[in-house]
Amino acid sequence: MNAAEQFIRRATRGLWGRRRVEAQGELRSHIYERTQYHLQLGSNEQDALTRTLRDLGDPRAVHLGLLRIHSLPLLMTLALTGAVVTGVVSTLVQAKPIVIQGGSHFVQDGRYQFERVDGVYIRLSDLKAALPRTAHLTRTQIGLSVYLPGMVRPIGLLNMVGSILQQGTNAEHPLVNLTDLTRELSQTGVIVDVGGWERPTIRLGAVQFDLDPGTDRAVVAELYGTELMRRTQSWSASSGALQLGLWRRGPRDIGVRHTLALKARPGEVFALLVPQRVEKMNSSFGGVLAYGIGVAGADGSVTFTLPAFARRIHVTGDLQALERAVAALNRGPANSALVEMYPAVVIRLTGKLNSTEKRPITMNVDLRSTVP
Amino acid sequence: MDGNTLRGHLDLILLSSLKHEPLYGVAIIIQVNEQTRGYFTFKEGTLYPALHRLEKAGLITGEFHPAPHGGPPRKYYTLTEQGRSALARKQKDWQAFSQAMRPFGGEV
Repeated sequence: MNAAEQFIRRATRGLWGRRRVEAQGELRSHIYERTQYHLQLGSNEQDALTRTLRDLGDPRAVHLGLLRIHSLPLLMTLALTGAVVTGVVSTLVQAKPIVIQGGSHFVQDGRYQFERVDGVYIRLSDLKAALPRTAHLTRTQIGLSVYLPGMVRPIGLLNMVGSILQQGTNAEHPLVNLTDLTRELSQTGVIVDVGGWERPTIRLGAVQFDLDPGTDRAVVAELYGTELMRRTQSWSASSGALQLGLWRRGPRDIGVRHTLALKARPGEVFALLVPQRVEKMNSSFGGVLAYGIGVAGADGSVTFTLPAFARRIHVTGDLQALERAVAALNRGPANSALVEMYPAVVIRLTGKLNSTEKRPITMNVDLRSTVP
Repeated sequence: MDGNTLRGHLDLILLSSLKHEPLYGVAIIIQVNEQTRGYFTFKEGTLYPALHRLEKAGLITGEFHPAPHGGPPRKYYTLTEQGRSALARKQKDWQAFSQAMRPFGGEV
């Protein structure tokens, strides 16, 4: 992504649907016109773009300005709507999440990448059933449209192509990516609360999804893990104090249960973080992370299962050699020579893992706690 | 000119710039800059929240049109009837304010 697109994305963060598309289009046009102007004056392309962005100013200022115009009134509307709806309607929906495995190879910015895109989904029909009768939730060609009573106009989840509504799912029984939906709606002002361990729940305003993951801990791990890893990535990489040790086979031990004696109090929740770094064949694999979440049993031990979708591999170097390496990596434990050791970190999660508007999936992570 | 002074008159400036013809963001900036001989300088990005605010208030409407010489479509803003009334009101207020301030402005 170039600097112009970065500016546009930062400036329009938090806007949704038509507003976002239009604001982005307007800024894109501005940057194009101004860049052309500077080119005509004799600047080279890089200088022209730099001057244009400098004249535009801080994208955060634009972002705040746009948010103040478009989102805050909506937030107030939604807050009022939520208050009214909560008083009148409270819906509990039991949904059996569906775990779909997938993955894709692609080249981006000259780097070969492999990304697992497995996710946890619920049926669109379940989501419709959960919303009040006066709400409308419809599919569009480009995403999902959500309307709740009191809103000025529907929220168009435009950027969710292939994410919220997974492409290729059965047209009669479309699936909604649960964590994406939760995260996106949490940024629109709908109060989102994620909690629970044995039976995790997601509350969206007056609606509560009572998830039944069965024995599949991957559902819970995805609910918490993705956001947890994002927030602790840089921190965990730099904190030697929290290194637990080397994880010999790392995230390729997917689906395998690992039990650690942590001397924890029963019921305490822990996260296992496994940053991945591999250097081999004059190439590097980096930034790869895996995670697991476990709750301490009566004897103080915690069992983690690394979910399959926590794999992301960034690769630089000889693409053909790396394609072979990635293919080998994906064939599983038999190729264990390729990936050797990983530093592992365990941190204790405290309090309720919850979320409020504008801060999706706020987690109370006690980063100071270490486990011997 | 400091930002607060500019902010106080931004609506008047923007509505006035659209008085004769629909304009898009960059054209508004150029026109304001030329008409004021560079007196108003501001970070260009802050123009758009102001335009969106006026649009939301119904004083202007925006519509995308293809750019004549290629490039992304431009969003042209047009003054609405409500906007014309608001402009007339603001101009009247400004004239009254300017008249009242004259004795305090000192010799030029």
